[in-house]
Amino acid sequence: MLQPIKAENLVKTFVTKEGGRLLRGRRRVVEALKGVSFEVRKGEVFGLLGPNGAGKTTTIKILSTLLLPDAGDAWVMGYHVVKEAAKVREVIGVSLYSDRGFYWKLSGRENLAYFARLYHLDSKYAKERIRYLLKLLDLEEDADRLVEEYSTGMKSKLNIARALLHDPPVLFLDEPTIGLDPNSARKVREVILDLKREGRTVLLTTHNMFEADMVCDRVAIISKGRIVAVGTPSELKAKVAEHKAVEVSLVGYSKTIEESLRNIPGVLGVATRLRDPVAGVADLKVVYDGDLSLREALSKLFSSDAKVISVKSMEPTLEDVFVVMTGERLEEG
Amino acid sequence: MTLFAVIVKEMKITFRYLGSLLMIAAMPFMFGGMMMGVGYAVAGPSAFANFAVNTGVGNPLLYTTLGGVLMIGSMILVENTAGIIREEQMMGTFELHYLTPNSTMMLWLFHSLSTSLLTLIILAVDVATVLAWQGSLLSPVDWLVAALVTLLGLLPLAGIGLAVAALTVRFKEVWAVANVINSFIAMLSGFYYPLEVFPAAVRLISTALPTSHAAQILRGVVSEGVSATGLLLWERVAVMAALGVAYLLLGRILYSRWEDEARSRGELSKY
Repeated sequence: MLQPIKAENLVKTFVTKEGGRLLRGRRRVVEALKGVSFEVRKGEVFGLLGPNGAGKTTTIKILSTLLLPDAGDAWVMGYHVVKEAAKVREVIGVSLYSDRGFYWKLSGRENLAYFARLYHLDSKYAKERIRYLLKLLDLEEDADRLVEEYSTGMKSKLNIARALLHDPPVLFLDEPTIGLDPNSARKVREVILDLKREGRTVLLTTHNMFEADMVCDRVAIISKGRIVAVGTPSELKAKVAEHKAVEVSLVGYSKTIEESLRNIPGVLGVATRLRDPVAGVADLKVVYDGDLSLREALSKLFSSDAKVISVKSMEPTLEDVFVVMTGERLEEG
Repeated sequence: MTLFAVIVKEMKITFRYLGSLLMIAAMPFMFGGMMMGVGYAVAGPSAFANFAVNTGVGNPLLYTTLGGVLMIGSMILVENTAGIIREEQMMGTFELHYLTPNSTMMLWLFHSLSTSLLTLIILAVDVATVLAWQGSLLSPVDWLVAALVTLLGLLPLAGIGLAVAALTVRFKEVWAVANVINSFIAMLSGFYYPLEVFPAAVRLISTALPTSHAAQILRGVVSEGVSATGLLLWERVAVMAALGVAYLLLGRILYSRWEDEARSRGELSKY
């Protein structure tokens, strides 16, 4: 059976310049993707979950034909993303930014009308379609306001409306709720679930584990250009279900403390979120097996130079999978 | 449909910035006034008589207005076409055009055409103002020739703009290069003075600019039948058409090359 999205061993390397004093600085090679492979099934919401710089946007850009891979292949609705790019563009809708991608001096409706014309939609159909999408995304009342007056949440919703203009069966959403207030984010997630009910295939990227858990049928965890795990949120959480996790907040964090915790037998992963680098205020997530490991970890923490503020026991989450697999946290600061 | 989309969008945005529009309309008069002031300072009361002898034009205000419209139009066109990639990248709309079933190069050229049409509207308003003030008229044929020549003189510059965009967008130096090119076009097109003031080598270079031919033809139009020196009207039109094809082809080749490299290097969206 034809999979709507299929990626095989995608590799992408970028060469960037680091700022120099007078002219442009040194070259730096960044390996964005190191052999990414996955498949997305028809009608499924598939999440690429990973922190910033993991390779999520690079993957979406290759799949949406905006970026050429160095190696590997990918297909969308059976069309090759390099050899049949024009065909791919016909069947995809893409939302790349939450707050950009518009003409600020045009209203929301005018922006949609412009792109509808570029998609060669019949003018009567386009008017109806725009009206429908504005209603779907709760933008009817603000449709005739200039986009420069829109909030980030409204712009994000308008971006999704633009991606849906030509009624594509496959949708790519890059961090659709980033920077949104909880209400707007909830609305966007509801829309994504509506799109799934309509039978569309959605590939979304996120670094928000709750979002991935809530809207995705399956999730691929991506870190440093590699997919480290794929499965339903339940399957992934089952991988760490027998493990336990605590979050320790402390003042006076140092790398040595983190390393000493990692070396304790039974500690499966430690990941740090540094809240105040100057004061050394940090939250350490420790995933472990067995109470003895926890006792030893806490003993090391209390006997260290750091001052422990709180210790919280946690339910297994997708982040724990991420911590165990990569030793990092999903969300920073 | 695509051309219509671009024109509607550009006109809406332009007419929402009325200040810019008024400034563009006023600039030909400002530059014209400045040139006439310099002429008077150099030649005194006989400035206009000398001007008529040297150019065959007895109406310096109309002449400098037409030259000004052509100059401002060419500057806007080169700068807009050269800057469009950067501007759209900064707004986040650049990549979105790639996702639509259109040739992106044609899309940017349609933006240039839209700018050219706007220039024509300004030309009509500015020239009509001068004519109304002086109580004279251009014949409908003269209007038509002026409009077509302006369009033919400006559109090839879109090719130059696109070439500048393709060559410089990576280094984010689009506007610096576009402004240097605009200065050369302004100096070598003879918008305000006959090109005969320059040495033969410079005049030869100026023949490579469609605007220099457009300026010469417009000079003929306002000089009431006194033909400009050099080529005949049809010869100039043929040269402009050839230059148009050459520059647009150059723009297309360089733009396509940049586009392929940008898709590979991930620079379509860099801003």
